[in-house]
Formats: sequence, C-alpha cells, structure tokens
Amino acid sequence: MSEGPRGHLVFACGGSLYAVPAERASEVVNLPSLTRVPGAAPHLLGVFAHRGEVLPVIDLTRLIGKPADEAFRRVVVVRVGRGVMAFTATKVIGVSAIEGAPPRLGESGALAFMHGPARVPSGDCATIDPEGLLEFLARGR
Amino acid sequence: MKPIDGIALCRVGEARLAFPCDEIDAIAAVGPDALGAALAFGDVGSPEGKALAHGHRLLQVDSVDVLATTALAVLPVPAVIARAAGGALAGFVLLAGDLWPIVSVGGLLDFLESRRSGP
Amino acid sequence: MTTPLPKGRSRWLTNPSSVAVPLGALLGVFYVARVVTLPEGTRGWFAGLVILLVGGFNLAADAYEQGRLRTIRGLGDGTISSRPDTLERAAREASQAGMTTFLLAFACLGGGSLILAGLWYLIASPPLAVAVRVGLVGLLLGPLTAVMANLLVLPRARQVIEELMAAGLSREALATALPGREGLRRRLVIYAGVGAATPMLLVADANLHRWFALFERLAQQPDDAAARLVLAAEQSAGTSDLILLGVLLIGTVVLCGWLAGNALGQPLKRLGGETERLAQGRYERGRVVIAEFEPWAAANALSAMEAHLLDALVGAQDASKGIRTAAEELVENGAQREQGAAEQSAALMATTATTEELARSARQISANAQRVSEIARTTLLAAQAGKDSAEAFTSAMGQVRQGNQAIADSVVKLNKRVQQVGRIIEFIDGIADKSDLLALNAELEGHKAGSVGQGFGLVAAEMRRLAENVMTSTREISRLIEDIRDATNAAVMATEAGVKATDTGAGLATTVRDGLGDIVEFANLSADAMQSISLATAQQQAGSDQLVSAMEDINRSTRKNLESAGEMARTQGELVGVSRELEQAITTFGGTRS
Repeated sequence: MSEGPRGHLVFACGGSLYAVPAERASEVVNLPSLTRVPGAAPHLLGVFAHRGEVLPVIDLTRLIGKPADEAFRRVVVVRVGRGVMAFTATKVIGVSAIEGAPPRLGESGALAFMHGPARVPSGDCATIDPEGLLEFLARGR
Repeated sequence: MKPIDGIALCRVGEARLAFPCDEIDAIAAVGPDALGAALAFGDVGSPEGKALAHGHRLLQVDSVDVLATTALAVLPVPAVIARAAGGALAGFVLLAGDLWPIVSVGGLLDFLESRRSGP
Repeated sequence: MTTPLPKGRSRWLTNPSSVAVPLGALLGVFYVARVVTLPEGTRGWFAGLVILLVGGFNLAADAYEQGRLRTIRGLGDGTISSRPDTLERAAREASQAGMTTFLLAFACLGGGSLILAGLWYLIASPPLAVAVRVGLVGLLLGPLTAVMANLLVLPRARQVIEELMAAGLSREALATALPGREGLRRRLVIYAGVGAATPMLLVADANLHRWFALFERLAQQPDDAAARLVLAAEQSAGTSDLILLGVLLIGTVVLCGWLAGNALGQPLKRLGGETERLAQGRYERGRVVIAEFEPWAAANALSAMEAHLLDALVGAQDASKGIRTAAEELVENGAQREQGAAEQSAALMATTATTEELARSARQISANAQRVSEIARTTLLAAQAGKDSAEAFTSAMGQVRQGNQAIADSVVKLNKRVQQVGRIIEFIDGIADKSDLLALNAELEGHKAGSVGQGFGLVAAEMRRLAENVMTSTREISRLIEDIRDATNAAVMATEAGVKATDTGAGLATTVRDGLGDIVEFANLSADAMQSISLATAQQQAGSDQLVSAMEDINRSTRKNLESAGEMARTQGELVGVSRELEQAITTFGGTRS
C-alpha cells in the first residue's frame, strides 16, 4: 500500500519529534491555563475552551510512559470524525512531507497508534494516527 | 445539550467542580463518613469544608457557592474524556472565561467509592 | 580628828550676863542707897521690888538667851548631829551671843529701873523727883553693865567657835558664817563713851543732888547762924561716901577698859603669833584666829593666804620631784645615748660606703637616662612621620570612597536602563511569537488548500522564518540583558562592598591616626620626661657627690658627738644632784603641812 508523500505537521514534545497529518491538524495555539477534569488519567492535563468547544489536552510524553516535561508553549489541535483533542508541543516545526508508512512503534497501548521512524528535515519523527489514538483514548477509563 | 438550571459551584483545592442543584439534598457539615471530592484529583484534601448530602451519602468539598441562574448553556464532553470519573462528567459551563465541569453527585460518589474499595 | 562640842557651852556663854546684871543692879542699889535719900517707909518696898525684878528679869533674859543658842546646846547635848550646816548655824549663834548679851543687859538694867521706879512710886508713894532719880540711875548704869557683859562674853564666844572648828567646821564655812563687818572703831567709841560718860554723869548727879539738898536745908534755916552751922556740918560730914563712890566707879571704868583691851587685843596678839609661825615656815592647814570686825577680816585673809601657800608648796614639791625624775632619766638616757652614739658612728661608717656606691650608680643612671632621652626623641620623630602618613591615607580613603559611591550610583542607573530595554525586548518577543503562530497556522491552511494555497504557504513560511529570526535575536538580547543585569548586580554589590571597605579602612585609618597622635603626644611627654630625668639624674649625681662629702662631715661630727655625750652625762649627773637639793629644800619649807 504505497502512497504518495503526505503533508504532516511536525512538532517537538519532550525531546521527541511527532507528526500529525496536516489535514487533521486544525490549528496551533498557545497553551492556555487548563481546567482539571475529575477522575481523568495522568496524561490528560485538563481542558480548555476554544471557539465554543471544550478541548482536552494530552501530554504525549506521559502518554508513552516517559518522564514528564512541562516546558510546553503550544498545543496542536487535532480534529477527527469522532471528536477533537490537543497535543502538547514544546516547539512546532512546521509542515513536512512524509513518504510511505513506517511501521508501528508498538503492539499495544498508545504506541500501537504511532508509526516510525519517519524522516523529516529536522530528524526522525513518529507519525500519529489521530483517529486510532482518539478511539484508544475514548475507550480507556 | 440541554441547558441546566441551578448549579452548586464548588472548589476542591485548585480544582473547580459544578454540581446540579437538584441532585443535592442539603449542604451539611462535614461528617466522619463524608467522601472527599479531592480524591478525584488524586489529592488528600483539607479536613475542613462543606458536605453535600446526596441521599444518605456525603460528598466533602472545600467551599460551595450556589449559582441560581437558569438555562445555563452546557458544553458537551469531548469523546476523549467521556468515560472519566466513571462517566459522572455531564458537561461544562463557561462562566467568566473559566470552565466548570458539571459532575453528577451520585456518579462521583459511586466513582469515589469504587476507587476507595477498588485497586 | 574632830572633837565634839563640849556639853553646857550655851550655859557657859550666858553666865557672864547672869553675873553682870545683878552686879549692875547691886551697884545701882548701892548708889541709890548712898546718894539718893529714900524717904522713910518706902525703903522696904524698894528693896523688895529690887529683889523681885532682878530675879525675874534675870530668869527671863536667861531663857531668851538659851533660846538664841539652841543649836549650840543641841550640839553639846548630842541631840543635833554635827553637820556642816548645823555647825555653821552654831558658829553664827556664838558670834551673835556678845551682841545679845549686850542688848539684854541694857534692857534689863534700863527697863528694870524704870519699872522699879514706876512700881515703887505707885506703891510706896515716894516724892516724884526721888522716883525719877531712881529710874535715871538705872538708865545710867545700863550701858556700863551691858558693855561689861559683852566684853565678858566675847572671849567665850571665840572659844566656842574654835571648839566648833575642832568639831569639824571648815574655815571657808566659818568665813561665810562670820562676815567681816567693819565696826571696830564704832565699838571702841561706844566702849570709851560708856566707860567715860557713866561715871561722869553719876558723879555729876551725886554732886547736883548734894548741892540741891544743901540749898534746901540752908533755905529751911531760920537765920544765918543756923545756916552756917549747916554748912559746917556739911563740910565736916566729909566726902567719904563720895570718895568711895568715885573709887568704885573708877574701878568699874578701869575694869571695863581692861576687859575691852583684853577682848580686842587678844585676837591681834594671836594673829601676831600666827604671822610669826608663817614667817618661820611652819604651815598648817585650816588654822584661823577667831576675832571680830577688822581683825577677823585680817585673820581670814591670813588663813586663806596660808591655804594658798600650802597649795603652791604642794605644787612646787610635785614639780621638784618631777624635775628630779626627769634629771635621773636624762642621766640614764645620756648613758644610752653615749652607747647609741658609738653605734651610730659604726653605722655611719657603713652608710658612707653605701653612699659612695650610690654616687657611682647615680653616674651610671645619668648616662643611661641620657641614652633613653635620645631614643625617646627618635621615637617622637618616627611617630610624627607615622601620624602624617595616616592622615594622608585617611584623606585618600575619603577620595576612594567618594569615587566608589559615584560608581555605585552610575551602576544603579545603568541597571534601571537595562531593565527598561528588557521590557521592550519582551514586548518585541511577544509580537514575534504571535507572528510565528499566525504564520504557522497560515502555512497549515495553505497546505490544506492544496496547490492553490502553495504560494500562500511559501509566504507564511517566510514570515515564520522572519519571526523566528526576531525571536532568536530577542532571545540573544534577553540573554545579553541577563548578563548585563548579573554584571551590574555584581558591580553594585562590589561597589557597595568597596564603599563599606573604604568606610572600614577610613575608620581604621582614623583610629591609626588618632593612635599615632596619642603616641606623638606620649612621645612628646616622655621626651620631656626623659629630659627632666636626665637633668634630675645629673643633679642627683652632683647631689650624691655632695652626700659623700656630707657623710664624711657627719662621721666627724658623730665622733665629736660621742665625746660630748660623755661630757653631757657628767653634766646631767650634776643636774640630778641639784634637783635633789631643790626637792629637799621645798620639802623642808613645807614640811609641817598636814
């Protein structure tokens, strides 16, 4: 299933590079103050209201079980069919074209919805499957 | 989402919680068997505060302010957190730029009980 | 020591009056019987009345006198104890006894004769002229009798007073009890007047009576022949009665004179004896001659003089005893001194050697002091130089401090400016950040628009690079500002530390300057002091040289002193002899004192 190069929004978070398909990335905003959600998982930092919508903020570093890094300046808003979510970012690199589909990074958990490594000008990055990840997160507790 | 009439705005530490007024039987003093809402944020909570009576159960919060405004617009819960607190999260209200999660008293009490007796 | 007053002295004192009054009465009766012719039939009454009155008056007068001598009687009987006050009262009674007797005798004779004349006239009815004459005879004889009684009592009173003194009456108390009245002349005039006038008046009375009687008889004669017969009879009758009367009166007057002379002369004679005794140097304490009037004053003065002389003698004896003791001690001391002089001589020899040594060390000290003085002067100069340096340092520190303060102020100003720049940079950074975000979203939108948005995307990417460049620059500037801030903070701290250090330095320098000032002052003082010491030691050197020669002189003097001490001992021995003689003489002079 070879595909042509697709545009991805590449961003750095906790020392790693991530990429989401550009057509799923709806916006990049500065990280506002967050409202904590009762009974939420640790990677769900909180929610904020944006353009009449409640956006849940997910820390990718915590999600993949790495030590937390709080130096986030921005969030990348990702919109899929079922809903919306925002990923924390220390720095947004920009839109890069990524060719082909690299293998999954893991068999279970959140890593099952990440692929890599994929080469971008800034280095190797992990591409995120937004629909799958949202499903996974919505399924969780 | 259906608008909501009358909520109790509660503070638990730094966090905010809004409860539908029709779910609260009474605002009472803190009893020894009251469940602390702080537990929902992974905190121990302060020993003082108020208790919201729901049936025979008590939910302890730091402070309570009743907002009697009717027909408050309720924002829907994003899919990612739809199952948070055992599904006790009913939506959000936006008041003066601050988001307040609307939580079912009974649902939260159930969640806290399950968490205390659970793993 | 004291002899009590003999018993019956009061009676003894009044005995003369008891004798004198009947004697005077007897004389009067004799006179009346011889001269006054008592009418027949009245003589019996007259004799009876005389006996009755003489007896009665005598008894009354005696009772009165005994009453006046109550204390003397009491002392003699032992009913009154012998105390200074009773003795003094007794002496006063004794001294007044003479005058009492005189007045009583006078009153008895005078008053008695007048009463006799009155009673006799009333009872026997003699002629009035005869009764008056009888009364006048009594009055005339009264004074004489009184004087005699008084003169008889006086010696007795003196004896009683002497006995009172023997009983313990002190001389001083006696002097107060018997005040020395000056009445000797008046008393002598009275004695003489009474002694001379009484016989004269009695003789004149007798003659007048005779003449009147003769004239009366002659007048009663019928003729001349009868008158001649009467005259012849009168002539032949003789004058035997008159002569007898005259002899009696003269005898009375002579007795009176003898008694008076005896009474007044006796104390004077005894005073003479006392004076003789004093002249012989036989002093006795408490001796006094009892007398009256001026002699009593003289006797009192003599007695007081004797007492004073005795006191003086006692003092002189004590003094001479003191002189002798002192002289003896002097001799003893002289002996000791002689020995001491010998020891002194030996000690002085040793002292002389020490003095010479002292003179040598004085020379040494003088030389040392000279050196120390020079060192002190050098110290003074060094301290002065140090003080000047410290002052220069202090002023330099002041300048440094001012410089530091200026730097600190400038640094603070700079810091403020840098902070302002920092705020501007933050603002620029914020704008750049927002631009970056806008450009990022524009790029994203451009990409979503596909080939249409490609050019838009390129512009947005360019814009992002620009914003990133700005942000890189602002980050760089921020870093620089941070560096500047750190540097200025360090500078501020450094200058503050510098100011503090200069303050401390200035303080220390001031302390050093003050300390050096003190040193200069002290060095000045010590330089002065050392010069004084140098001078003093030079003088001391001269002094100790003189001391050496003085010691030699003293040595010579001591040897002479030793020789003279022996001489002195001999002289003192003589002094002791003389003082013993003096004491002996004084003791001999006042040896009879009690």
